[in-house]
Amino acid sequence: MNEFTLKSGAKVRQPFNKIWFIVLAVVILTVIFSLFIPFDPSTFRLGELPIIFQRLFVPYDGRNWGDYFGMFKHMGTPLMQSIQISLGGTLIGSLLAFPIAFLSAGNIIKNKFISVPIKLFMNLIRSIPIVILAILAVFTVGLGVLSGIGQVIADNILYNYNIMVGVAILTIFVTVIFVQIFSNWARRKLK
Amino acid sequence: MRPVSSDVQVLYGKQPRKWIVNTLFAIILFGIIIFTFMGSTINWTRVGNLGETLGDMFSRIFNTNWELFFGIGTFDFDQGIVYLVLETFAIGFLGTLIGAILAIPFGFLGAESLVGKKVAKISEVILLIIRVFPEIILAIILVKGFGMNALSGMLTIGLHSIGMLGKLFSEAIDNMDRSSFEALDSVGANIWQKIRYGILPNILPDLSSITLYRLDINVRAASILGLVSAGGIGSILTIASSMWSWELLGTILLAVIIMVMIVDFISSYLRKKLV
Repeated sequence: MNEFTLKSGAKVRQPFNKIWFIVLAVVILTVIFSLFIPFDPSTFRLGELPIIFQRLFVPYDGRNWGDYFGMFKHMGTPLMQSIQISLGGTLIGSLLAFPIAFLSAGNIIKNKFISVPIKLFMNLIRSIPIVILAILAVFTVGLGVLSGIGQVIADNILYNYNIMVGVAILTIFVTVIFVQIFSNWARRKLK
Repeated sequence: MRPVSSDVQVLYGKQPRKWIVNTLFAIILFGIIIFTFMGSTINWTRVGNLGETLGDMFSRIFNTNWELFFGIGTFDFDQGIVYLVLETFAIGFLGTLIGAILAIPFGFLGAESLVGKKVAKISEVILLIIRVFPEIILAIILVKGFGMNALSGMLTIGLHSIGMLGKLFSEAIDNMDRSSFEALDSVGANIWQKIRYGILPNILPDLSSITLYRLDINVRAASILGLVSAGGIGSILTIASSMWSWELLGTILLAVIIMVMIVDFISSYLRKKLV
């Protein structure tokens, strides 16, 4: 603890900084949880990482860049499906959320026995990973829901890291950037 | 003097005619709905059996296998769901830590008020690319390089977090109150003193609240990384879903929901304390 004596003779003490408690807690948690992470350099194949990137984004096996960009025409249908999924999902979700939002707002429905359980239920739904919901949906309405650009990647990636996956990733990139620009523009307009 | 009612009528006449815009909006919305359901290949016979399926699901999903849940009895502890959930949390926690540490330089480089417009734009583009790169694909690539274990999951979460954390960090640095920084400048503090007493106390609450929010997201993300065998609870999830074993799925779901809710609660409590 730092103590200073001023010219007047009064002693001033620098207060203990609480941040060290937080740092200590983070360090202890890090040590505990790093026990769960195996670290075995003998399983590393670091040399494969650049090869994978090369196979994803640079044409190989005698293909040229024309073939590479020609592959984008295979992305039309899956991309359309992905857009349909996200548009339809957002639409259904916002329609369902509209009444629920009113029911769970504590300042509109004064009855706590209605708003608190609904809020809890919403928290419950939020904590279910989306993949589990997809599994449930496949079981109830069929495999049609699992389509789109994700399926292209899933189909191609498990066998080998081929060029189709790279093309799919680039398609996702372009689409997401366009969607972000559009939604930012629309949000600014609405405000 | 004209009667009041004609004034009202004039005002009504001046009112902008919104019905054209509204009809157009409704038509567009309707078009989107039709477009959305055009391409879907829903298995309608299965939808017809929905009640039966859901009844079967709900009757079996709450049959929690407690021995598997805690990893006792016929199961070892490191096969139990609790162990896997702790591993998932470890992936999320350490990944967030790595991401936060790596995002700090990006945060400073992306702050327009510190480095100027050009550098800020460049680092913004880099952060956008990191954000857009799908998490699962990054996991698949890293699994190839680091082996099928929790280490690659942790690295995935860490690298992917940089995108969002870096952006929010740079916004926090941009919005910070610069008066204390200038005051230190005027009394002749050196650069480290300026960072220590001028910048850090200003941005640390924001930075930690952003990181806690990201922890919340990352723990959810870590629970599906196992789908590509990058550690965590996702691998047993794949097994459960491919076997259609509702009992196993219910057990996993219970554990995941409890973990996510606890993390959610702690992180929102700490964030409320910080701000």
